Amino acid sequence: MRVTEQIDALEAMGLNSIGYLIIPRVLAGVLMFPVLYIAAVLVGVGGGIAVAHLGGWVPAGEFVSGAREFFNPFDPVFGIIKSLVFGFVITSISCYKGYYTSGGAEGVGRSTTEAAVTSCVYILLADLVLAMTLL
Amino acid sequence: MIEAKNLFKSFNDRPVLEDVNMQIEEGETFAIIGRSGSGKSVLMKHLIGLLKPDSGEILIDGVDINKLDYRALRTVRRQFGVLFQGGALFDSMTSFENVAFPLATFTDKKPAEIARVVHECLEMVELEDVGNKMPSELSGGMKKRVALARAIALRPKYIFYDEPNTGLDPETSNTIDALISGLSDRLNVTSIVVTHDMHSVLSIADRAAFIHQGTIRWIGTVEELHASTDDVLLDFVKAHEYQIGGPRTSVATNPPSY
Repeated sequence: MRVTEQIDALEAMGLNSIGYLIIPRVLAGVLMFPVLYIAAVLVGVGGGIAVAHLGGWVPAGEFVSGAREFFNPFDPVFGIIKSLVFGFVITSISCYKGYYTSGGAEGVGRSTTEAAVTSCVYILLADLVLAMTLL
Repeated sequence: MIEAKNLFKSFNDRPVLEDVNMQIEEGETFAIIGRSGSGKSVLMKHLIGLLKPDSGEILIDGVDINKLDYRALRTVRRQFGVLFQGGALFDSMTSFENVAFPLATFTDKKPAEIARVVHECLEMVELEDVGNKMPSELSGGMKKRVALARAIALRPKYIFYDEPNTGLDPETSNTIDALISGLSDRLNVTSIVVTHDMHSVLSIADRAAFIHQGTIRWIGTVEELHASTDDVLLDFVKAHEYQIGGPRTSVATNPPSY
């Protein structure tokens, strides 16, 4: 939107482009990443049970009782906290890179790569900080 | 009235605007002309408040927009309609939604009323039947016309045109010129046209300012253009005349002095 002057068009109309474009995206990321996390956990555990049971390695009942034995109630809470933080990190970095991109189509490609790489680095950093403070 | 007073702007220590002074009167069609890279688009972005000058003032109806806070500046901008070089249509919306966007955002109009105004605006730019098309399905000229319909949707007091003819074939270019001229009369707006197309300037503008190396080298009515004795301005004007049938050798033997 930046390189095709769509952001300038929003501003020229008298609209706050940051409020219109960035805040909803960051909010969506923060709200939906935990949902994605829960879905991923359900699919992961469900898939594990199905493969173990159908493959004839571990019966479903035994799998569930084993999982319960090692279950720590803080783990899913910690997972949701991490997904909230990662959602914020990924969307805010990506929006920042996109909002201030320049240099035409090539610039958009460069900003996309920068957004992905920077997000990965900050996710690792955030993971470290969260693990050190909450675990 | 729009006034620029003692405007200076540099990018990375390279001066782009140097002591620019001009006045644009109510109701006139004012052209800002100059070579590519002369600073005319930068000047236009200052007039809208998209760029801030290093020093100097931009007065819109007597109010210096650079002294306003962001909220007040946005209120001033609602008097503006801007046609960007590539149209700047929102590519996730249809043509109808693009034109309806400012109406839905800034007015209390009901959907039926918005639809009526959108159809009226699209009719003014002679594109009644493209409402359902996405910007990617439109030609360059059609995009600019839909963008023009969006720019006039809120009935602005000032319309800014950034290179309205660039990238268009001569016939479509003439259509855009005719639209600009027609809208200026029909809506009684002040039009500011940034262009390097002299044909367009001569056919639609009342007055023009010639920007050269960041300064206003010449300012006056279109009738006074040819009477000017400024060599740089005459080179610029003549370059256009060569394009439309002058001797080819004249261009080769008299290259512009960049």
